Amino acid sequence: MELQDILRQRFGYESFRPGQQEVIEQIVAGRDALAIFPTGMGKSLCYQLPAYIIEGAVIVISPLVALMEDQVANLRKHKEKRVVAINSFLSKQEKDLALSTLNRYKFIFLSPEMLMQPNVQQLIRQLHIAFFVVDEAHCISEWGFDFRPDYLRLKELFQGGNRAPILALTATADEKVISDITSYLHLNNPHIEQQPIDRPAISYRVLHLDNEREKTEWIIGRLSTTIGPGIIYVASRKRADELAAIIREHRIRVASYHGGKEQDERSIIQEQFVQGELEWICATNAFGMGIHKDDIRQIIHEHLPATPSAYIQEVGRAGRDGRKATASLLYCERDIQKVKFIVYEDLPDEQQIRHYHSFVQTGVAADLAAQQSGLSEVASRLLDYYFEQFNEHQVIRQIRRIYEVKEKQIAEMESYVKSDGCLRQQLLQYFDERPAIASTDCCSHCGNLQEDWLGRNKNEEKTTKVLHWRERLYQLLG
Amino acid sequence: MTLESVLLTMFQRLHGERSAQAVYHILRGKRSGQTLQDVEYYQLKSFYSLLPNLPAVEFQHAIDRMVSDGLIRIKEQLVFLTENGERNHVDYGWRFNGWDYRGKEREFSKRLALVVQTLSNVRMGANMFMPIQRELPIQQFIKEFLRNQSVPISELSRKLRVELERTMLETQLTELQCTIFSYRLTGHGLTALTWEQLADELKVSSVSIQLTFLESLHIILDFIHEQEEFPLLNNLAVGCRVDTYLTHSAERTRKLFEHGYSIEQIASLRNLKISTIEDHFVEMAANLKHFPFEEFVSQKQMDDVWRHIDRLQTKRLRVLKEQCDELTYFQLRLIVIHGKQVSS
Repeated sequence: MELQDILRQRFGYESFRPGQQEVIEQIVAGRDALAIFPTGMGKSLCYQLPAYIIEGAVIVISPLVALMEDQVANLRKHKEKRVVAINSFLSKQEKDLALSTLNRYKFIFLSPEMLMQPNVQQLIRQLHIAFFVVDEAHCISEWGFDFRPDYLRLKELFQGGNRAPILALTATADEKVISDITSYLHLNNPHIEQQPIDRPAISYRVLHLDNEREKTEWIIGRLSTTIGPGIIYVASRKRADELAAIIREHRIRVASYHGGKEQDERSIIQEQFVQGELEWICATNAFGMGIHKDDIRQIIHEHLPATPSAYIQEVGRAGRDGRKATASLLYCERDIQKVKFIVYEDLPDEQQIRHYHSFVQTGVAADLAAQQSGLSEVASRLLDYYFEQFNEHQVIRQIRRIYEVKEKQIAEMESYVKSDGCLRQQLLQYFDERPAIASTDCCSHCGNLQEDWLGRNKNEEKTTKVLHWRERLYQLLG
Repeated sequence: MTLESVLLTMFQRLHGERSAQAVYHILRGKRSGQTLQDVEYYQLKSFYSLLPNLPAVEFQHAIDRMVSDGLIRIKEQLVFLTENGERNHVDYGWRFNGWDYRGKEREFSKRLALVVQTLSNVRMGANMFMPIQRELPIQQFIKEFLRNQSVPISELSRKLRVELERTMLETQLTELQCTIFSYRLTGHGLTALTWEQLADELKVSSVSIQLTFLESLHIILDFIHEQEEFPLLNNLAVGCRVDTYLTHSAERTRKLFEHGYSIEQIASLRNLKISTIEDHFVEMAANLKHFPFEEFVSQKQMDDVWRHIDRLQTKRLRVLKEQCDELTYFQLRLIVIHGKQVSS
């Protein structure tokens, strides 16, 4: 069957998005490929479609359970029942069941730690594999903005010849990260398909304010005069709740969203936002992945993201329908210090590394050693990995390098907020991309923002009436 | 209904004989001999495992608040109601049944949420929607449930509505309970409200809303239990009611006892301490319909101990042990569990 036919019949699209066809053809031809597609530009289709051309199972390695479940839900939505996700959230029973019936599935999602288990590897080896997919492949690079030590272990897995092709997927990657992905995954002369990160529909704005109170006031003013749907990204769970409460007092339909809420509550909030029952979400960076909402018009950052990649990902959730959207970053002087504190908290310093190492060498259990040396869980896992292959001196140097990268990324964000030039250009330059200069709606520095379309109609406020319970049951079920 | 009012009722029933921690264990449904014994002694079964996920901090806050509001006082860890507390204590006639559901009622409410969302969407012709329940086992359960139905979706949907409506009316849920219950359901173009949003809308605290909801789940589940007129709801409730009240370990002890082994033999067979096996026997005494009390204590011993209990107005073992030194703690525990016997 032709690619076009499968696209239409199975996925209901009339045409490919830029880059998709190229990647799919490479995979079908048996070549390794790296696809760098901005969020929301159809990365998943790059592996979903060829799965129906190549015989065998597709093994998808995905770093986050939430992400995995979203992908699974998405496939099921397209009437694919042969999907299974194996991660640490399964009970032993469920896991055993899934593993014993592995050969029935077309799509097998695995977390990196599952994949590293010998029995799982054993079972995988017995399968006929169409190709591997490494989702969020930038996580493998220490230079990436969300490095995951677990991912480094994939290195060992893909060593040696004669394996099925690998498709690595990521939303953002600079040259350094691309080279890490290629070498760590042992990609064999991969086809690299990179789609521009720039989203012309999104306009940028940076505002310098004196303090947090001014930020809050700006947000209130903004939300009272402009339209949503929108997301306000804040630094902490506590702040998300707090800000949502303040906004709600102004009769704007808003809710907070963060990892501290129960799953049911998060699902409800997400659904309300997608259905348009909520206009705004105050969220930590936990919100966004797997939200299928095309008409988000505004993204506001009340805090400074730690890296340009993180910023561009979060901003990229706006305007997926191709219509205009706007991104505002609120900045005040102390934000740099705050973000540094959060970022460095997870990085061990030299003394901590030495302490941890000596504890572990004397046979202290890893978690106790981590606790004793004041290390976070992320930090100790990272050290564990490095100590497997490096000596203390090398580990210290390695961590020092990571530190420098993070420092550089924060410095990039600092130059972004302090830049006098075009914000779009400034941001894209970090990804070696040069945007076309737009004549309107580029950024606050180009001074050509036309935001009439953002204006809010005062009487737009919807007030929902509480239904009587019998009426509600009737409306739900008939 | 607040967490404080629930706690006040529990402390009142424990009349100064237990610590705050003991109450915490009961609410979380700890499966230890002590906790199981406490709920039995002090008629607190309905509160057992009511809040399996209650964070320790939150519980501590409630206790601190109650102390500073002068409702309770704590002396040597034991919790007493103050006069103020006694005055403020209202017995709401709770209709909780924590004992029989132990947190599993949430399973029922999740299944219900997903089945309502599915029926609501499908009957409107919307075959694609993001499931409000992400847990795979819940999704599989609902798929299986729907596969086993033979009537068309619209009719099934209406049938479920009728069952729900009838249940809610016949159990005499309060208006508040009905409102909360209906607003935790999502459907086509109608999304549920979060606890926080309900609290805002109804001007009641979020914890109270959750407790009220929990109580209505228990009421509904109790009502439909073994009632043939509610086949759909009963299907959704499968497995939510506890079927064995014994812990796994106690169950093994029971089997050995059934085969005629003594406490000491069981202890050595299972490589456990005698006291552990005794805990199992207390658990069995509390939970089995027929437990051979007479093998461990005589009628006269029981009568004696109960006379002391009535006179001293306490069930504290240490006090009882002072009165009847010839009895072991194990025997005393069995006698308290057995309850007072009106001798003929």
